[in-house]
Amino acid sequence: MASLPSSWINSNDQQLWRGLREGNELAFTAIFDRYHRTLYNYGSKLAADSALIEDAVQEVFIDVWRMRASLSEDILSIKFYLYRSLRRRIQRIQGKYQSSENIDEIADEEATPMSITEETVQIEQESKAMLTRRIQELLAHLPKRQAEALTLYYYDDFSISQIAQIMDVNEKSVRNFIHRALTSLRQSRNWLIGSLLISWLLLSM
Amino acid sequence: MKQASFSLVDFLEDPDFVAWVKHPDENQNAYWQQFLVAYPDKKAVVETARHYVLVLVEQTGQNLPSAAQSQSMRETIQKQVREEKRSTPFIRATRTSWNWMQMAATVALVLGLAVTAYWYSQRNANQSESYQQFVQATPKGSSLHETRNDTDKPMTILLSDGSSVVLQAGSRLSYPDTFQRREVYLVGKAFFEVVKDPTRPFLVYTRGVATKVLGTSFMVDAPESDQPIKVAVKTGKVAVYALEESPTVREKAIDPALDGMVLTPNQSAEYMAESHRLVRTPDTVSAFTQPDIQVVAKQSFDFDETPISDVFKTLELAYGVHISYDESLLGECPLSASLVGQPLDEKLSVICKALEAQYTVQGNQVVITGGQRCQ
Repeated sequence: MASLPSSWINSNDQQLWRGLREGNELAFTAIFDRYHRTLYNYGSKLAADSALIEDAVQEVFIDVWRMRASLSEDILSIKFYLYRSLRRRIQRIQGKYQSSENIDEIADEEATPMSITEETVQIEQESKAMLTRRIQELLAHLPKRQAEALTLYYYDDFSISQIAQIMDVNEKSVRNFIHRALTSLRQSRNWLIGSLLISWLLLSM
Repeated sequence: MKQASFSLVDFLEDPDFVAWVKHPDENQNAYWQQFLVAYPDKKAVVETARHYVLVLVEQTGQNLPSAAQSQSMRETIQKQVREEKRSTPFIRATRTSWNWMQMAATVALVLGLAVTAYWYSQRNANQSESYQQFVQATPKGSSLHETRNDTDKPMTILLSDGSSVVLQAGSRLSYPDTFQRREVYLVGKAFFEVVKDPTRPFLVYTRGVATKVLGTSFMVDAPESDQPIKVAVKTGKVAVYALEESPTVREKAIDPALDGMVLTPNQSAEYMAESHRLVRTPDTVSAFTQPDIQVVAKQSFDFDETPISDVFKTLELAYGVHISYDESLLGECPLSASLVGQPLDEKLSVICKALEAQYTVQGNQVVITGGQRCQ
């Protein structure tokens, strides 16, 4: 097998993983190049300190290299493996040891569900800039785990079942996180439309 | 998708819809066109939902590292990989031939002898004298090795007989690469966990004092100031000698008998530098309540259904090592074991035996490989 770096760029996960297990540094580097940026992005949903995120991402890769010989042969998704490792590592750094159901989630589950009103209003086209601003606002204020689940679902293309395993919760909780986040998003839109309407009414008086 | 009213949120939560928006292909285009033919009134909602998904994807991916951050991470990792390649591996395989009976017997023996001792000695001018004696008396053919802990964390040294020494920050230890006699020289503070070998006593020299053990764990502290040497035993037995009073201690080193001042659990003694005298401390005073005691000396290493992730965290703190393992596979495996007094090597052996795993040690890196998932 050719060992030029370029030969790894187009390799699939299985080929890269096999290369890594055999101790091929170029395969390892290709895995880093392919996944470290999105992994860092995910880390930013778990911790605010960029130095901590960088350390954790580095350690995940260094560990993968050290343990290459003992990594299981068939891997469904390198990305999934890395994400799960990163989450555990950041939790370890932050000293959170209780694994799954912690207070933050229980509080989330017990909160009164928001009423989902029928989509009666016709959908106005909201400008992209306005929607972007609103989603930025939302992501900044959402409970951490809701923002985390949204990222894994929309940006990282993980399935609900994979997200559940990464976040160490059950699938129902994941659906819950996403549903709550989206509901707040829609409600913030209704609120916005409402406030625009009111200000328009006030102005026109 | 369910038959209901297809609200905006329904679309946003539908994985097929999200997949179509992110990576449209002909099949999916066809499917969603058909859908709109069947539900023409949903055209606006679908359009809005598409819009939402695109912005959600964009906005949840806003925290990518800068090029400089990527470069710095890449360099750190490459440095580690290169360092690993360069360093001569100090590898110990699990003694897989051990059966459980042997293991239990060894554990019991080591436990019975667990000891902690403190030494407070002074260094400076007259320290070099006894260090010279030590070097001269070292048998020809074994080269002395000195390790200094210049970090601010504890550092673990694995000796050739399997014993381990946790060296406190700022301390240093001299020891032969391979032991003929088990003898080391310490300046500073360290915690020793010594493999039991009744035919070969283990001696720790510091300025003015020697401590002899057969197989045990104990702590030694020899600061640079003129403070008295203090020895305290936690469990087991050690013999302490003032070198001036026992000039023949080196001859006695090969004699397994523990004479001199023998200290048993919770007993301690002090060596006065000025009067050159070894004095037994009243039993009411415990050295183990001192605030500056090393983590490894304080730790009971008594695990009861403790998750492996916590066990490893305890070892990492006590020995200043980093343990790499597949946390998703092994992290929740419970361990019940009492590992007090055992060298790091034996602790890892016992744990790996329970996990059906292997371990290697390289510098301060412990790598656990293999292992069975616990249910």
